[in-house]
Amino acid sequence: MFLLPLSLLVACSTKGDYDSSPETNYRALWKILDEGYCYFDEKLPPDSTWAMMYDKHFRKIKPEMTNDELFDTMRDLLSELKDGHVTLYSAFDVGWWSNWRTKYPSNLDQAIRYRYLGDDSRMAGSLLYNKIIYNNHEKDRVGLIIYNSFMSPIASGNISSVFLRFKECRGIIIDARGNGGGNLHYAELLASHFAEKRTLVGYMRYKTGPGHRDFSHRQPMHIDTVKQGIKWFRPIVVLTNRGMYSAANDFSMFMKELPYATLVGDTTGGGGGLPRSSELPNSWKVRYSGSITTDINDGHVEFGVAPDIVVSLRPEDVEKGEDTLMEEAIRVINRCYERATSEEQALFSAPILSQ
Amino acid sequence: MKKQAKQHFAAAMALVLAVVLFCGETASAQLVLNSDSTTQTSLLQPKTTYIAADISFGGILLEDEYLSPLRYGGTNYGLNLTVEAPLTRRLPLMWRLASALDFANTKNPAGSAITTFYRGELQSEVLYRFNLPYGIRLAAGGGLRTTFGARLHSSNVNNPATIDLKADFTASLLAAYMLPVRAFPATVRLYANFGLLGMGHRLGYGQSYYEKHYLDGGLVKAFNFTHPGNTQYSSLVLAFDLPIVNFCTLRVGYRLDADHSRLNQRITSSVLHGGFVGFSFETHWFTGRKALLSPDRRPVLFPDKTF
Repeated sequence: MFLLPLSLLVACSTKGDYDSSPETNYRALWKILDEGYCYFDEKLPPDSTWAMMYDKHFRKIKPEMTNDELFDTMRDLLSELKDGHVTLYSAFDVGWWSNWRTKYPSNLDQAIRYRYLGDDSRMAGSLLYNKIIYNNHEKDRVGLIIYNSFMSPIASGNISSVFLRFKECRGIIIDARGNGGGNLHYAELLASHFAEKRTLVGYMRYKTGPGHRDFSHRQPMHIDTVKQGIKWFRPIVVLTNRGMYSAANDFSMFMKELPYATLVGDTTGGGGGLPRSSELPNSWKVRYSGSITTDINDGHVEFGVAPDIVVSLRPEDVEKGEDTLMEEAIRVINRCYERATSEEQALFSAPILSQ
Repeated sequence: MKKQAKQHFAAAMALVLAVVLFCGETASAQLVLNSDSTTQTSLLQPKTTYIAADISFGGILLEDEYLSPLRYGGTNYGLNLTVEAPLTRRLPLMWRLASALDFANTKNPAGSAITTFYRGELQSEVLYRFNLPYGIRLAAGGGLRTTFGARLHSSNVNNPATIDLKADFTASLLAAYMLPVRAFPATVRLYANFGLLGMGHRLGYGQSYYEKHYLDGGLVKAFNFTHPGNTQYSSLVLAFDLPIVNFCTLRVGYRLDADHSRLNQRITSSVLHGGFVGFSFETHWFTGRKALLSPDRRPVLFPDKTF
């Protein structure tokens, strides 16, 4: 009788479910996407279907194929979707479609960008910041924030600290070029410091079933103004390029709806789908877009957010050590200041910001 | 004037309350006097409650299509508390309370990802006891079970966890037998329950944590109606109470717990089994004036107090 409970102290294992068969895994991958991916209508050519993509690449599946060959075939299948969020992970490689960035100019010269930031910059959380002095811009009183990745954490206190040190500035440049995304919450948090009131910034729809068009009703996305911390109600310019993806793309979408913000640069890289994860019987993981984000006009942002002012980095400016986008951003802030009424100008120069 | 009226009203209410309490007490005493000696004794005797506390170890198999299409397996650890008490003195009704806390660490078939499983459960039910031949006791009834828990996946991005919140009405059966051996009065209990109707929370088919938390207003917003057609949740417990000389009563046994649901087109299941070991107690509850006067009572502070 005593042996009964002791005999049952055995962990359950699912090792028997492990399956490395190329066909099983290829089919599993196709099915995960078939039931969960959200952009078939937008991504596949009108005369093709996801089932056709299965047939197209299934021809390469052989029982004796190596893991590397299987991986490459699966990556080819996923590349049909032309989606930077669709990624295949194995122990030996990561396969993803990166043309959203690589086939466009970066409009960014890192060395020159950091000259604008200066050698004595500070770092609040993951925000690099300083007042721009480079290229005789001290008189313009413009603050620069560089946020390289929304994967890196920020808190409301970091943002407020930066604003406090920019209290004499007429405006701020947020340089998010090359920011490949990360945590959407950080994008919301940063945008909330620029929102005067609860503002509609877009919509989201999630899959409600395995059908390609099984979507929820659209759910409004709002940016709420921060409850505690310093708010910035002076001109803000967000520098954008094709390297901004996912959460950074959403950040651009949020900022576009806020009254003091101007987007300067190139269209962002896109990545409007909120990704989700799954895994294959051979333990490889797959990530794919699972929810659709649209802007306030219900237009897709999967292919990027267009800037308010299109500016490209000019080689002749780079030769002079200038960043074309940064210079344009400073001009935008100066124009805003000049157009402002004397009362607003006084506010822009006031040492205390709205709290 | 108003204040005076209030005072009168309060005094009147106090008087009425005193009369009611006095009448109740008299009626109660009258009942004792009018009853036979057995009833009189039973009214004075304290209530005996069975309490069992044990820890369990075993295996668990998880399936959660929201997190992964693969099954996860691993080891489960649990803490369980069971209380059984007579509900009334006149009817063979008993109250059973069972609570459990479970924790499990599970891995996918390749061992490359982990799902951590947490679950708490509280179940309260009322059972009607039947005396069967050969000293076998059978109790049948039902009650309410509430479950709360979560499954956390180690590597998923925006679908990193599922929350398990549900409440359902249950039907239960308990069979028990005590060995007719004075030297070793061991008891065996076989208990089974089945979920009937209730409410269960599940995330939307492709809903991310972001949509659930920030856009949809939080976790407790979306509940599904559950019934045997979409949710099957049952438990089986085989327990032995083994008196160890005059030292203690050891409780050992086996537990099988199966929970399977298909809500929002996603299958979620857990099959949990394992052995348990602990102790059981028979406890007298002394409450009220009569019970406190019981000769069976042995208080800590006033062991020699007599009336």
